[in-house]
Amino acid sequence: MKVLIVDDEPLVRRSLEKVFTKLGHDVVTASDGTEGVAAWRESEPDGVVIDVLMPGLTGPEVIAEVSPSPSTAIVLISAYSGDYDPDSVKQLGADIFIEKPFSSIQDIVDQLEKVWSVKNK
Amino acid sequence: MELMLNYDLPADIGTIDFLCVDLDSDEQMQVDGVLSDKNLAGLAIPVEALSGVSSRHEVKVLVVYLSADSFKKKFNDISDFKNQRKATTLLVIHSDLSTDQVSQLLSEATVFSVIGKGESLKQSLLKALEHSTVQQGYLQSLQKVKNQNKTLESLKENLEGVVFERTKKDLAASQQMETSVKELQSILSFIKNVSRLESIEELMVQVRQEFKKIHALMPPILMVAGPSQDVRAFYFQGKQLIEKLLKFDPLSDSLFSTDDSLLRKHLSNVLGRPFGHLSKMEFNFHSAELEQVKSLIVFEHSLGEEEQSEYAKYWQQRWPIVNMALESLLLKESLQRIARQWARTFNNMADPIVIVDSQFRMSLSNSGFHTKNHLTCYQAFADRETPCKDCPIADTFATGEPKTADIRVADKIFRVHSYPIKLDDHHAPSHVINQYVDITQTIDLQSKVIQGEKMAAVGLLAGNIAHELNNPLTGIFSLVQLLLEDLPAGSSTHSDLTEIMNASARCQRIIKDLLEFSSVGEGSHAQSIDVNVLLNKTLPLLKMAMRMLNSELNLHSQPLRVKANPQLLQQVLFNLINNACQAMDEGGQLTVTTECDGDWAKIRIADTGTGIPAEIRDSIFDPFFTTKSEGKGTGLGLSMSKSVVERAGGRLRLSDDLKTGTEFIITLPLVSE
Repeated sequence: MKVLIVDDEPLVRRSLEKVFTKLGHDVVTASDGTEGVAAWRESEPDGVVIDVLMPGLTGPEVIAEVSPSPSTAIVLISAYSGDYDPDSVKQLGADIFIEKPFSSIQDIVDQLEKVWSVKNK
Repeated sequence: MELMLNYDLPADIGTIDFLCVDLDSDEQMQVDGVLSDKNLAGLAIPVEALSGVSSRHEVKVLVVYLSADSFKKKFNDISDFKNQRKATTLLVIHSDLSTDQVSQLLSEATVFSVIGKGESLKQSLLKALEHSTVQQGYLQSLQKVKNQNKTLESLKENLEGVVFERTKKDLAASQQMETSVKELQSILSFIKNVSRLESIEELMVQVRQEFKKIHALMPPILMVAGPSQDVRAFYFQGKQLIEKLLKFDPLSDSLFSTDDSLLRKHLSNVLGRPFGHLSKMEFNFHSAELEQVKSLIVFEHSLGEEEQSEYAKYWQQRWPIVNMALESLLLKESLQRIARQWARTFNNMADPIVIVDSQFRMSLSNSGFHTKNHLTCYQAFADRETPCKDCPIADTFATGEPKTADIRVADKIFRVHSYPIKLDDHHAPSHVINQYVDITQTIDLQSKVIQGEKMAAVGLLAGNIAHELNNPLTGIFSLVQLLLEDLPAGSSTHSDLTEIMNASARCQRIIKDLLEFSSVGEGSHAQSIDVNVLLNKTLPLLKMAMRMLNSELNLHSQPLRVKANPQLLQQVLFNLINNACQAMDEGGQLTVTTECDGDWAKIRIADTGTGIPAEIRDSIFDPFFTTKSEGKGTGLGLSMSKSVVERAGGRLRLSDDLKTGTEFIITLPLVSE
């Protein structure tokens, strides 16, 4: 699977990249919203892990900008919880929302794969 | 001289000056001489004619010749004649009469003079004539006197009659006056009795008493209508006066119409018996206040025709008195009603109100103000021995202007409005009205709002920082996790990395707790939370404050679940523990205990600081009470902590068991889940 990771925190990108790569996925990273849009368009990923709050474009704005294909699995991650319920997540164009901090980084991978397999049955 | 031989005298003869009887010619001549001298009238007649001389003819002098032999016979005629004529003077010429006969003539016949035959007559005649005139005069006078007497007599009789009449009149008048005086006295005494009355009941008793004199009257019945639709009936049952309230539909005007039948019907209904003759008297009130009020008095009676007028007069004298008395009593009732309404209003005003003088002594207070036995407002209201701090009363007296200030009494704040009472603008106020408005809630609310805003600001800041920190922390944690997967389990690097991971996990927890803590009012509701868990979340936030202290945490072995807003309760715990730490800035022991007491969860937070002085122990929960300077102190303040706990159904109090230091005890009801 081709995975795009968009987050402004280097350690987050690094760790996510490491874990996805280890499990055999191709990883593309972007460090802010604008880069994210470009990278998304260019790489056409199967799955995207994107942070909400970033300098420049926010995660939801990036999604809106790109207008992803329905087969793309999109996971929103953020330190801000509480504002998002499943419906609002869908409204933003994403599939699920995972709160930072992650209890386990492996969990991200599992969730993304699960969403992707549902979307691409 | 005419010689009359006939007995009938000519009618035209009037007064005969000399009437001669049986005189000889010589004597006759002497008489004539006098007659012509004096121009007088004379007449000679025989003695037989003497009695025939009509009394109509006045005879001045009777000259008569008497001899002894004719004496007896002539004597009677002469006497008779003389008897008839008191004014006639008798002159007797005699010859050979005895001394006795002469004295008889002089005394019995009242002869003026007796002269012998042959003597000169002239002098005697003249004397006799003079005498006759005198006699005449005397007799006339006598008659006058007699007449005057008669007149006097009749006058006297008249006068007596007049006096009698007058006396009778005066007597009658005096009797009438006596009656009038009695009447007036009776009316006066009635007025006196009526002027001292306090109630309509008393008036009725007086009226009944007053009219008892008229036996054909029954005790009075009084009806007072208005101002509302009701009619009050006052009547006697035996000695007792009954007051009954009657409801009339339609208006009570029916009572006051000229048709008595309606009145009779109503009376029968009220007293439960039929009525005989009625005498009805309506009253007339002039006061504006009694405009809607009508009244009448009724007497049932059995008066006869004649008695009616006396009764009418009796009433006429007394009606104005009763009218005035009744009016005055009704006005009094109205005034009392108004006074009661004022007193009720004054007392029902929610705010305590009191009127004080310049020495703070209370003159009047409403029921919101409990005076007990105190003299001054500060004793009664604030339980103090001196005026309250910031009291505006003194200021109001000094300036004569209304003043407002806030005072604190017990745990409440009152906004006191002092209004001066003064006669006019030139005088200082004699008294002041104080109104106490409880603004504790308002102040409380205001301070809550301020606190809330402060908290919101702090929360926002904390929130931002937390989020900022989350990012790198997430990264650290995640990367370390991955690294650990690649390393062999026993190696030292592995264990070092494990420590790093633990450290970053702790960071994350602290941030999470901080975020929870700062998210006040973001729609969080009461939930079932374990007090132990909450404490564990809170304590790390206070590590800095607790670093110099010994601390002991004794948590109950079982979870203690209570229903509360987690954020708010956490803030309460934070606040109390923080306070405890701040009280021990020289070091000390902090002890936090949770325990179960029946259906209650108890949290004790104790410090070994200086403790709270007795005089401020009650004030510490006040909304703006603080011992900290401006700007210091996060958290809610004890007042908000108390209200958060109380809202959750619990209590926050200061323990009074401690000899030194301070212990706060939170009690909350346990919930099952």
